[in-house]
Amino acid sequence: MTTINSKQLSSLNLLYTDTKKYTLNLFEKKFKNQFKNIFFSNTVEKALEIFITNQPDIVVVDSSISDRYGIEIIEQIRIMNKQVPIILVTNFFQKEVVVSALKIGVNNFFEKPVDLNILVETIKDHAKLINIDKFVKEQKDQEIKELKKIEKYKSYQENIAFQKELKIMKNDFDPFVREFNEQAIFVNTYYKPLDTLSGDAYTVRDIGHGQIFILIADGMGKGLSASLSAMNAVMFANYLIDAKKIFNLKKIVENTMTYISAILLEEEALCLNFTHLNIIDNKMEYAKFSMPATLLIDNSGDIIKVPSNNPPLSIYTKDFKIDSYDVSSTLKFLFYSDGVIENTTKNGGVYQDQLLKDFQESFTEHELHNKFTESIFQQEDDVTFVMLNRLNLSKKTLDRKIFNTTTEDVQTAGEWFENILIKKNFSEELLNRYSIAFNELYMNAYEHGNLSINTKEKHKLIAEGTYMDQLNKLSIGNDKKIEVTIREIKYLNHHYIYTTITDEGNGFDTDILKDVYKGTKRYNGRGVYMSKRNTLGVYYSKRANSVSFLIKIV
Amino acid sequence: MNILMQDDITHITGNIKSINDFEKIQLALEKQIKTHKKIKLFFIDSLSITSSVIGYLNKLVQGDKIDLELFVSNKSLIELLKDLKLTDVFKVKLIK
Repeated sequence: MTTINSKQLSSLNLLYTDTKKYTLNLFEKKFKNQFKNIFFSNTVEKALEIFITNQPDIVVVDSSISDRYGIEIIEQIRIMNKQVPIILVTNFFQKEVVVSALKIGVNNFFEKPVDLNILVETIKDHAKLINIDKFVKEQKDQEIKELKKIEKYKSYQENIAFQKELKIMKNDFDPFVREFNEQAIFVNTYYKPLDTLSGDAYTVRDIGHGQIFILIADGMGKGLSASLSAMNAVMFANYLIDAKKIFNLKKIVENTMTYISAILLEEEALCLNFTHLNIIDNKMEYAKFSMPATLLIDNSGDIIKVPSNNPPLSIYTKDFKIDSYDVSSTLKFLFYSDGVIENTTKNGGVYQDQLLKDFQESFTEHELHNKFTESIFQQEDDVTFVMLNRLNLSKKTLDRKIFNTTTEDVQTAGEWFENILIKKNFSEELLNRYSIAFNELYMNAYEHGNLSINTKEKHKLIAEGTYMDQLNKLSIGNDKKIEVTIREIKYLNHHYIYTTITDEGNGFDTDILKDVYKGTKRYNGRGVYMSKRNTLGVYYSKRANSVSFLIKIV
Repeated sequence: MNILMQDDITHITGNIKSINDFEKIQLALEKQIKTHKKIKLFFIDSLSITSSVIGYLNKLVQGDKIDLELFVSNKSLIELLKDLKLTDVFKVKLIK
C-alpha cells in the first residue's frame, strides 16, 4: 500500500486563492517548505492564469469574502479540468455558495475558521491518490513505450518478410502476354494478405510452348506456421522448375509432397492447387488438395466448376490423384483461395454466392477483384486470385496500320487511333484516357524501340533541351516501322478493344516495370504506369518489342 | 490544346496528350524561364498529362531550379500526380 510522506507532498504544486492577503501570508509561512510550489492569487484572473500556466495538482479556494469569487474560479477550472482536486474553504452561512460548489464538483469543504493542520491532512489524502495516479500513469507510459518499441521492430521485420514473400511468389506473365495460334494468353494475379505474413502463396510459371504451371497454396490456420508452409510449397515448386527443370506435373506434386510433408506439424494441413495447362493441346491437368473449385468459362458463357480431387495435404498423405480436363472451349480460368468465397458480403451472405455471377461478368481479373472489394465490408482472410484469359484473335481485326519512324507519324498514329475510338462513341473522358495510353505506349515503341534511346539517354536529352531535335535527327533514314493492330473482341454482352503496337527494336526493358507497378518514386516507366492505370491491362510480348492493351467499350 | 501566357503565368486549356502538346508546352516554358525563375502553370481543364511533359517539368524543377507551382482543376489528374509522388516536387494545387 502507498503511504503519504513528506517526499510525496513535496512533489506537488498547490494553488491557494484568497482575497485576504494575511491568510495567504499565513499559509505560505506555515507550509512553504512542504510543497514543491505554492502559487497564490487574490483575483479570479490571476488564479486562472496560474492554473493554465502551472497546472497545479491541488486547488484550495477561499470564497468567504466575495459572493461569486470562489464559484467563478471553480467553474472555470472545471471547464478545463474535471479531475484536479478542489478544496473550498468557506463560511457555512453562505449556503448558496456551498450548493453551487457541490454542483460543479468541489471535492472538500472547510468551515471557517479553518484549522490549517486539518486542511493539510486533507491535502495529504489527495496527494496520496495523486501520487498513485502518477505512478500508474508512469507505469503505463513506460509499458506503451516498450510496446511501441516492440511494435516498431515487429513491423520492420514483417515488412522485410513480406518483401521476401513477394520475391518468392512469381507470375511470369506479369506484365506479359503470350500469343499462340492466333490466341492471346494473359494471366493476372490479385494477392492481398490479411496479415503481413500470409497463409496464402502462389506461383504462375511460363514453361514455354503454351504450357503454364500454376500453384496456389493455402496454409490451414493462421500466422507464421501457415505462412511458412504455404511459402515453402511455392518456393520448392519454383526450385523444381527453375533449377531442376522439372515440368511434369506428377513429378512436381510428388517432390513437393515429399518435401512439405517433412516440415508439416502433426495436426497441420495444407490446401494446394497444382495445375498444369497446355494451351496448345487444350488440356488442363490438376492435383487439387481441398482447394475451392477452379472456375472455367467456355465460349458460350457457361461456367464449369472443377472441384478438388484430393484431401488436404498432411503428414498422413500417402498418394494423390491427377485428373485432366479438356479446355478447348475455355476462355477464362479462375484459381483462388478460400478467403475469396468465405468472406462475408454487405448483404449478409458470403461471397461464394456472388462469385460465379461476378466471374461470368468480369472479363479481366481487374474487373473481378473490383467487384469483390465492392461486395464486402472488410477482408476477413488472405485472398488470392489467379485469372487467366484466352483471347481468340483470329478474324477480330478492326483496323491495322503501319507507321514510319518519324515524329510526324507519332502524331498521325495518335490521331488515327483516336478517330477509331470516336467512331465507337466513347465519352470524352474515356477517349482521353485511352488516347493517353496509346500515345504513351506508341511513344515507347518509337523512342525506346525503333530509335533505341534508353531511359537514361532520354532524361539527359530532356535536361539538355535537345530531346525533340534528337528524335528528329535519329528518325532521318530510319526505315523501321511500327505496326498497330486494333481488334474488337466480344465477350458476353460487352465489347473490348485489344490494341497491339509492335516496333522493330530490340525490345523494351521490362525490368523497370517491376518498380513502376510497386509505385516507385523513380521517373522510369511512368508512361507505362499511366497506360496501365487508364486501361484494363498492359501486356508485353516475350521479346517486349510488342505491347498490347485492353480497353472496354462501355 | 492552347497556351496563354502572361508574365510568370501560363494557362493551358484543353487536354495534354500528344507529342505536339509536349512540344508546344516545352517551347512556351523555355521562353518564360528566360525571364522568370518562378512560374505558375495552370492546367485549366486537362484530364491528363503525358510522361514527356512530366519529364520536362521535372527537369525544370530539379535541373534548372525553377520554382514551379502547378495548378490543376481535374481531381483525377491530382490523384495521378499524387500516385506518381509529384505533388510536392511540382507544388501541385487544386483549382477550385
